[in-house]
Amino acid sequence: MIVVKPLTLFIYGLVITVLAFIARSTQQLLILSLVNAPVGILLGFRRLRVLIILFLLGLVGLFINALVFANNGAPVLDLQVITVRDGALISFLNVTLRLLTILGAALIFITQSNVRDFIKSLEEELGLPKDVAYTLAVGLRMLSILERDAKEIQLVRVERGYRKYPLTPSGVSSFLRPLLSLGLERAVWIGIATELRGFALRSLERKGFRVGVSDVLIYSLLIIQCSTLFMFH
Amino acid sequence: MDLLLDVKILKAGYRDGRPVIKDVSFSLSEGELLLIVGPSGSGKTSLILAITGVITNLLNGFVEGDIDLYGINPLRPEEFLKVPKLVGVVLQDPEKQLVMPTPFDEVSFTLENLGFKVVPEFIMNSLKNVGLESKAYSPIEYLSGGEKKRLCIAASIVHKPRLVIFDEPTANLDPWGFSEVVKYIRKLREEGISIIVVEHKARYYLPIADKVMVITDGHQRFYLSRDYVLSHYEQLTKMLEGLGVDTSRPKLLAKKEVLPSNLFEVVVEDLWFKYPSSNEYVLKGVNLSLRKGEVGVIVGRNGSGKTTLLKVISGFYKPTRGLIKIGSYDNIKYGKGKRTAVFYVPQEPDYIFVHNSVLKELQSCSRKLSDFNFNETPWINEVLNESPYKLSHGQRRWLSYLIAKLYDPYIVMFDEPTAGLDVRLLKQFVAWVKDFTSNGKTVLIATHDVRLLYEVATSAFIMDNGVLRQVTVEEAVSYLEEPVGL
Repeated sequence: MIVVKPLTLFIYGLVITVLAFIARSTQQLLILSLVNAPVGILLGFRRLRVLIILFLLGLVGLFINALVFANNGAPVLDLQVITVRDGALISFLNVTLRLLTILGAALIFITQSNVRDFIKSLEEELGLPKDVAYTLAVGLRMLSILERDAKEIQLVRVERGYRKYPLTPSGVSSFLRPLLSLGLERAVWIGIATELRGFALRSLERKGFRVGVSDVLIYSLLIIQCSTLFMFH
Repeated sequence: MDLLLDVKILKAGYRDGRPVIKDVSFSLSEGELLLIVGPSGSGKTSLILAITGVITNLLNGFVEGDIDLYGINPLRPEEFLKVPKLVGVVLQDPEKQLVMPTPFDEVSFTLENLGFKVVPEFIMNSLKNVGLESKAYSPIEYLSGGEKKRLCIAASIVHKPRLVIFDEPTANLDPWGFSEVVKYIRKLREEGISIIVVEHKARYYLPIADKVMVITDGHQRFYLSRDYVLSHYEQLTKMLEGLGVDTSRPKLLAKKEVLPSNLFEVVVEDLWFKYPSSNEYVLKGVNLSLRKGEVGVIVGRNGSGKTTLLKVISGFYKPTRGLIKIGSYDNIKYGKGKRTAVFYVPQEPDYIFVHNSVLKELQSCSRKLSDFNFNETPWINEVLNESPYKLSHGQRRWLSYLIAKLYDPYIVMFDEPTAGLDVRLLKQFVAWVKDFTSNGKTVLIATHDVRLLYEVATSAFIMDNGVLRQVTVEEAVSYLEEPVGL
């Protein structure tokens, strides 16, 4: 079984995210998303479906955004009320591919990392402050709870006569409000519980950054993807 | 015996400056058990946060007075850092306490924080002490409520603190989980560890408590010794019951009220259900029928299928096979018909809200607001323009009941509606159910609460591993009481 260090996956996710923002052409973004999105979605589909659903919901807003801010160039589709131009489609495609790349890398990291190992490696190997490492780790732990909350909210929304998946801004807001309210309350209590378990006293010894064979493979994959930026410049 | 904790609080509160604790003083010697009892919202949890220094050091609150915890003052920031080594705190809700992916990681996290070396054998031994050795590497999401609570205990006491504080240790647990936790607290007590238990289900701890403190509205009403408790037991339990504290076994009524109708409102026949992701059936040939005006109560272990049954009847999940008939609707689905047929109220009231004000929440329901008077809940008129999330937990729960009522369904289904409520609030809920069913409406409840079962059930069911059987209310009460008959 291939075991990749959480820190390697974290660096991979971070660099891919940066690449997704640096890449400008559709070809560059297409390659990045084709490498990361299918793997990430495959790994995360069962456990983190909510993230994928939230991504799909976001596409509606993305398209509206593209229509408002980048609807220029040759007409592609005439919808009577609005003419969709190629500028809107290209910018919609680019942003979608960019987000797909980030989503894929994030899902690869989340599904393949153990929270405690992740905090430890961030602190011991990267020397990151414990508060930053812990915040990231708790965020990951909360994803599964967030997904459970989201499923329950969907059920009750339908019961009350609202869409299971909100489409309008007010619908999205009504969906997110209970999620945030529960999340905030949990965050306060988790903070108290963690402090009462001596988090302020936590101080792990700094160890060197050690790399195994599987980590080398991941870094190689990362270098290949970085090179695409120059190949399709 | 050495004095471990000496508390003299004149005033304590949060950042708004309003005191929530006033004139509280008590002491605890090594090896003693102090039981703090009081109704919901009386300030019990705030008192714990005050004596551990959390209010002043983490929540920007204030404490006027002195606290001596084994020679340190937790209110001072530099001494607050020493508290985790001396005190283990088990909070009410495990979901708001557990942060790691597995029990092994959770226990290791405490040791790492406190500078101890993580020795796997030591961690496995501490998990063994709470019966979780075999689940050391299971994802925490898959543990039952009782197991999560025991994990919280293991993670809070692995470093052998001198004092362990339990905040509502049995809240939301089924009788089996409840029994495990109470037995474990008793074991710690026998080992000579000092313990503070905060509970409104006082009856399980009164016989073993060395001291009992009664707190209401933030005030210390009584501070009683063990000798006094034992010699005035009857008197004390009666007085505590009056304050909303659960101190006595429920007594069964000789006869339940006559049912208002012979018409069946809910009929479930040979219902089977499994989740798409699993091959195992969660519901196995369930049969259930309830008349108009009836209150059905389903009891059973956590994970036995109670909530799933309510959700399948509500139309959230499609049955694998079988029949569900609600009023004139067969095998209901989402849509207009269902909205008037069934309303499911989840355990967590926040799930139900979709608007940003109480008024809009109420206006968006099927029935007109003018059809209702809110005499029983006068506070509603004062918070109509508030966000539902700004209400207290009890008020949010009550708002979810009102929303259910305003949808005017034939049947309302509640999942653990009284979890965490004291006796006083439970009685208010019982009154709500009786009022609702007096109009020929039907109620189905999934609960572990023996008092609720005893107060409202006209039909009782036991759910055991997906199989539902109808029993008498007396049998259901015994089923719940037996595991906790400590």
